[in-house]
Amino acid sequence: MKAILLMCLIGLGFMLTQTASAQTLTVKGQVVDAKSNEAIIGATVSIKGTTKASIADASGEYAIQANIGQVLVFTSIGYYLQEVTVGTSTVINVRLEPSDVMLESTVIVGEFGIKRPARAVGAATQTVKGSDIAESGRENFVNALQGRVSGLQISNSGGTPGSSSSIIIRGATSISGNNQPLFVIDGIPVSNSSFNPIGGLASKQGSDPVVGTRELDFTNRGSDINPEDIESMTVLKGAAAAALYGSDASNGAIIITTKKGKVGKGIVKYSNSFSFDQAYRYPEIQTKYDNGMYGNTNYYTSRHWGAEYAPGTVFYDNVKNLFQVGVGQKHNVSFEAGTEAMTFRASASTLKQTGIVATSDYTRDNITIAGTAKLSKWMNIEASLNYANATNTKVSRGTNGVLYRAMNWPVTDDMRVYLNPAGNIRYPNRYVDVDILNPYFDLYKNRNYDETQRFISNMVVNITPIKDMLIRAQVGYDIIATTMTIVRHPQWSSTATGTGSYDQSKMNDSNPTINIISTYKKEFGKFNASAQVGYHQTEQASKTLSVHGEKFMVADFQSINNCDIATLVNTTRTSTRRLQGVSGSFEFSYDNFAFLTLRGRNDWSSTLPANNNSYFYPAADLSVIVTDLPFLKTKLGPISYLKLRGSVTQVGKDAPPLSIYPALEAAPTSYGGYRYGFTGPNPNLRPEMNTAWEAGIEARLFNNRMNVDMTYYNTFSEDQIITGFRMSYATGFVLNNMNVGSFKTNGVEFRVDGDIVKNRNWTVNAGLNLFKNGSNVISLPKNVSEYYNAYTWVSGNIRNGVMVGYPITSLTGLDYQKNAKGQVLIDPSSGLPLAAGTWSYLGDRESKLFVGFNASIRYKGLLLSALLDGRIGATVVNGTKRYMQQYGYSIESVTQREAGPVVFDGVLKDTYENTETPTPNTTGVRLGDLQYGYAGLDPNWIETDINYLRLQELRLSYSLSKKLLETGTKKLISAATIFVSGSDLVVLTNYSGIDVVGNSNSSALGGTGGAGFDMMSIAAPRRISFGLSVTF
Amino acid sequence: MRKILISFIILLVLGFSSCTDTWLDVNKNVDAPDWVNPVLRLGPVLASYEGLQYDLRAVAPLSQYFSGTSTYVSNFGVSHSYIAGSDAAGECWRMSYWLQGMNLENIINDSRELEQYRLAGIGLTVKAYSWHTLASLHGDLPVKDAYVPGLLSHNYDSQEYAFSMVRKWAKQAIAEFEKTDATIYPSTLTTSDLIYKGDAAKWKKFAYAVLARNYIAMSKKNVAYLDSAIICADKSFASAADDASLTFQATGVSTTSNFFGVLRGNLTNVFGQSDYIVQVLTGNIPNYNASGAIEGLSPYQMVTDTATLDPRAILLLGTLDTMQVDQTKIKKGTYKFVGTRLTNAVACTFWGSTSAPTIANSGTGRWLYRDDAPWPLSSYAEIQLIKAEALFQKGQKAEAYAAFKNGVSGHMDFVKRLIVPGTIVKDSKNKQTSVIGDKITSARFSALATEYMNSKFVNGMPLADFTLSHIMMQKYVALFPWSLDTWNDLRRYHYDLVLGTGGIPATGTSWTSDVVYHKLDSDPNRVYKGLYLPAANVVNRRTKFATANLGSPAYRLRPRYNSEYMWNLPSLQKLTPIPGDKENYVTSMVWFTTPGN
Repeated sequence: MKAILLMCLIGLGFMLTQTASAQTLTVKGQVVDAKSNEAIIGATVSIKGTTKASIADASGEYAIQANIGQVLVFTSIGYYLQEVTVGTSTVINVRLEPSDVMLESTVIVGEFGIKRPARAVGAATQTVKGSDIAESGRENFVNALQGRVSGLQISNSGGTPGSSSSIIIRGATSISGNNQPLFVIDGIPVSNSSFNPIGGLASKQGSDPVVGTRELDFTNRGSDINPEDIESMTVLKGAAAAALYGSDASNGAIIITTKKGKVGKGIVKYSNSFSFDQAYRYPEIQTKYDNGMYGNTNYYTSRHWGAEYAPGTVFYDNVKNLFQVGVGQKHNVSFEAGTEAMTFRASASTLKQTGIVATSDYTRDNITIAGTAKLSKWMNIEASLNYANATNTKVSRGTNGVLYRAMNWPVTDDMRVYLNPAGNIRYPNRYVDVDILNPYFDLYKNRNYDETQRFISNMVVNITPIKDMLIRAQVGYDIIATTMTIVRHPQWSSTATGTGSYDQSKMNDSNPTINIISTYKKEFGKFNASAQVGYHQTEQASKTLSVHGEKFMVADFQSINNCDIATLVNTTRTSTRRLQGVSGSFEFSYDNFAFLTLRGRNDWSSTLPANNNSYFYPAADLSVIVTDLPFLKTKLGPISYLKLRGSVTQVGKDAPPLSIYPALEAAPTSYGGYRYGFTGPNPNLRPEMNTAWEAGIEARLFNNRMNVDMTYYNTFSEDQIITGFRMSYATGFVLNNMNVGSFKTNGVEFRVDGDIVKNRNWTVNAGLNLFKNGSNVISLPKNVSEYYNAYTWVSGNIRNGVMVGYPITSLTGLDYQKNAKGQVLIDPSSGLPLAAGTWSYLGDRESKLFVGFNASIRYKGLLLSALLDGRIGATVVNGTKRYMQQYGYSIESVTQREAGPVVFDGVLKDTYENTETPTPNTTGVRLGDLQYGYAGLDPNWIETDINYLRLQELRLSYSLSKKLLETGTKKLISAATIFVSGSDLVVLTNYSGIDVVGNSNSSALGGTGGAGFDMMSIAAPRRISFGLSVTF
Repeated sequence: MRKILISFIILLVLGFSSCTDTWLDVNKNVDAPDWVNPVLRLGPVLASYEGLQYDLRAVAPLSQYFSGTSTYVSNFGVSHSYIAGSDAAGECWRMSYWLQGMNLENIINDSRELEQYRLAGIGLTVKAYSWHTLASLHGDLPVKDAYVPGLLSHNYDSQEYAFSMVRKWAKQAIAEFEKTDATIYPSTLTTSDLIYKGDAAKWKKFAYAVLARNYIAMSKKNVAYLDSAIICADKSFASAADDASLTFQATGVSTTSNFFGVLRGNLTNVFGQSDYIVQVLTGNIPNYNASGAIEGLSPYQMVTDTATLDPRAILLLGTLDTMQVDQTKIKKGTYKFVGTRLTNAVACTFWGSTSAPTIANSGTGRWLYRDDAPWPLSSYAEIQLIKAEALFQKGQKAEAYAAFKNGVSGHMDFVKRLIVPGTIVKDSKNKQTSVIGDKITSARFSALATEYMNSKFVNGMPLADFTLSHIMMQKYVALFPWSLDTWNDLRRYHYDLVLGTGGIPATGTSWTSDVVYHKLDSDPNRVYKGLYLPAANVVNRRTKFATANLGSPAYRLRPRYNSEYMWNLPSLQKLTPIPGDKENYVTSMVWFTTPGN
């Protein structure tokens, strides 16, 4: 097999080989790690002041033509730069000092693939190595970023395969719209969207679709990307990214560079991993009191406020029985080869993961080919093609989810038996009402499945028509075709007389991009100037065809053809957004230590009214390397590098498609007709504007062993385009799309890392990143007390309300009724506290501090690394526990009913409450005597000051020594690594619910989302995995 | 040269697709039209009148038509309050501002442009009717600020202003009906017009009916409005054949079926006929003595007595009795009717059982409580009784009596038209279990109606005995249970409470924080004999209004919660004398109930 693989490579190698033109001197040598002496594969060797470069091969060996006196610059991500002047010697061996931080030499991939030295950048960026992402073992690479990048928050909507993850960088910038960063792969924007069943599924007129964003989670499409194909990832934080990538990047951008193959001898690399997942943190159900109310057992209610179970009752841990061990495996094979003229890489990957809940699974196959070719001295091309095929069987979640149903199922009955002897749905024994449904029936007889085919293709031509000028033209296409299938079995109904429903949606997304960029550089003595102009064009088109049918003719056969034709509903949904942009930038630098960049961009968007669709936004950033100032160079003691940076950016943003014109809906009323939907058109929308500035410091101390990076940022968002905005119905509509509202965000990011121990055999390094973000709503229309998204309304009356004077991540709900002095009012007849009738601020979901900590210890080939992710001062809505209290499922509910009378602190609402002498409450209430106990009010279920620390990753790997491999395998294998790792092994928290970082909604929700609402979440499982990686 | 050529070609290829003017013009919804012929909007606009039925669940308990265990009954009927934080009783708001709202504006404006004047007139009539209802229920509401683009707050206008606009729109409608259509309607007009199938002559009469309703509601403000009411009544419906009713396609789904039918299950057994309507329709209004205890029957039985059968009771009310197979044997007492006191469990549903109706035992329902029964918006009987009241108030007693007789006979026609003779449902042992349909045939009803009409309660009444109470109590019956305007009548007469100086209720005289004081039934000025508010000190009542009411009954409904209380509160707070956000805002008397201009 290997021979065949190698033959293929040899063939490719032949095709790729070209004759290099002769030069005065060919310099050769090897680039090695100064500590481990291992070859640095892929190190870049460039000639200073030219675009000429070469790349070290798998042995770390390089070759480059240079003239005597030219300076060779050796760089590699994770190492300090080194410069060597070419002398007469044709062999230059270089030892690069490793570092875990991004260094001045590291280029960040700037405007659509054009590289820019990091030292020139005035805004905060952070780069993550592709290998870190791959080694995290996450199927969805987005999850690997948590804790690694300061300022970035990931909220994961569940622990079952294919759950969506949403990313927010530096807090939300939009009250109702998209807050996720732009994903850019090799210069082209790609989709990270999540399917939204609201609107994406067909439904009977006047009915809701079969599931919403709370009931079923559709993964974020960024998960289609194979982490093994990622060379590096740079996170551009904040609005500054918009100056580079347009307004779509106003929430930041995640710039992914994929592997393209390296110069050198062909490499075949195989790696695998096998994983085992175990459910972690799920609730316990009390086994003392039976179904019923007022302390009397009856089986008409699913609440457990009855009498004690009879002695000897057999109990089943149904919640525990819901879970199983999830098993996964992943295999990757990649082929790389390259000459100076051409590089090529092909890889294939296959992944299969079964979840911790039966039937749930996720599979993904990826094939990637990529390469670069130098056609002539003045022209080269890059191209890549990524194909992904993913399937996902999902699990119902939230208050219709399997965990909810497992809790609901009486503990005296074995939930695992979901069919009765006749083969039909089984209801629990004894229980009289038939409204408790078996989650196993849901898992085995219903279907929540989707499959996705995706192509991301990309072609770039770089031309140097005249000296110092570069034209870069790029075309990219990101195409996604997804089919969602949701089936409800006819017996999936409280009376077993349902009709069944079949839903299928076929969604085709296409996102073509064109970028043309031209740059010109000129040096004037110590001054350097470059100018760039660009034209950008993107389109996001989506077409969804959905069908809904009911009344299955054959109960167990799942097809739309099996539905009663009279019940079929078909819907199409089409949306297209097009954007054209023209950009320009000028960069001035002095002596390579002071940099000023001015940018401007004008966009024209299809989503705004024609007379308002053009908007210009400027940006400026400044960077000064203080340590390079001649008079400071030697005076800064342990500080070897100090950079001050700052940027000011303005970003315009357009509206979602279809927000300005009215769209009539077919009405289901007698004899049909058309009418307006909920949302009013707005022909006067204008672009919203965000103004952001940031300032930061980067420093390296103690001989470059310690790195510090600190940023303060501030964003002001005004003229927000809020969609689905509620106002008086006197507008003629229920919801409105308007430019209203403004808010401020600010925060601090801090990062420190360094090598604690560093010698020939040992390297110990550690890094800490801290992040704090806050926001404040400055204005909303004066008659609007609150903006909220009704889908976040999952527990009591708590929702993600946005109110003036409070953070945009606020929780609002019905507080206690209070008198003018702030004392709680008590109902004189019941002795219970009274709930207010209007919503007020109850808490901020934003944690006070986000913490990420990473550490690694290397001894020779052995590497132990850990990553911890934490939050301090978080606020979480514990909806699960509230539900368990209401239903008498929790251990706490037993404690409460057995406790003596409670006298609630407050004063009676007896018309004296606002006098000088309100009547203090003295009524004791035995809460267990109430019909269904006492479940408190909204404020009781908001847990504040939650601290949380998760051992996100713990990994031990061993790389076999090169000598051993050379002798042991006769040079067949050049490198081999084995590893064992754990993910999410331990969570330390004072939170009493399931999941601090849970999200009650999928990432499709938009706005400030449903993070911070824990409602029957299934938390991320513990994972143990092991595997190996072999390079031939 | 080669470089430049290649660069140029690349730019050309990439730029080619985009350099067109229309490239950005992709924001139109290709899956839904943004304009349709106005006639296509008419059906949904009219169908939204089910909103009247939604809110009837709150207003019928206030009018003492409905009782039961529904929270609507306890919060509105008993407490004369509202449901906190709820949109309950805010559906007419939603209907008028949104479901009809801009759709209606488009119907009116687009059809005027298309010179489809009949359709424009229909649109204006609908608008006038809806806003009369809305302003009647809520009092103050945004009118001038409604539908003004870009506004972020919406100020309230007075009920007086809203009523003036109602009349303006109704008069505009009448003017449109005078014009000749320039274009031919799509054939869909007959199906889309769920009320009159496009009959402009009837629509014009309906527009006059709206005017008559509006004038009589305001008649306390100016006696001249009585004349206007009479003139409009004369130009309105000529017989029960002109009655305005919303029809339903009834395809077996809720969106095409009557809100009060069996399918939609909105009344079930949590709403039932009140004890008061049963007393009125059976002649059993009790006589309450000074201490509020019942001492036999009241001598003031205005609609019928214990000897006279008003056959309408058999249709308006549900009865637990099985159907009389021999229809000729139906006489007074054949069917016994039981009413339900406010908040008590329903003694008998409208379908004749104690449990909620099912398709098995009630089919699609009966009379007005049937899936396909047209829902009345206004009727000839109503308009004639408006005319009778106006004439009576003017002192033209004989003319009033004539209109009164037309009104009652018109209601007989109205009631009869909805009859679907019942079929008996039997169980496996051939025992009768329920009746699907009405328990009287049209023929038998006609015969009994004639007998009743000739009784001393209508045609046989000496003119000298004829009182305002006869008119208003027949109107109370004629509008049962469908009309929200009954509450206008009750409020106009201040629920027959003892009034203070100036002819309006006053604390201490009309009520204390616990009790309301009604006029005696013997008081000639008492209109609704035997009607007592929940806070009245009579047996079987003796509950209090919500504490916040401070003793006052409700005079308006709160605006829709999720429109005004959530999103327009500052405007609501500006209202006087009681700001809209106060808990007793519901007791703030609406403009038309106060005397004088």
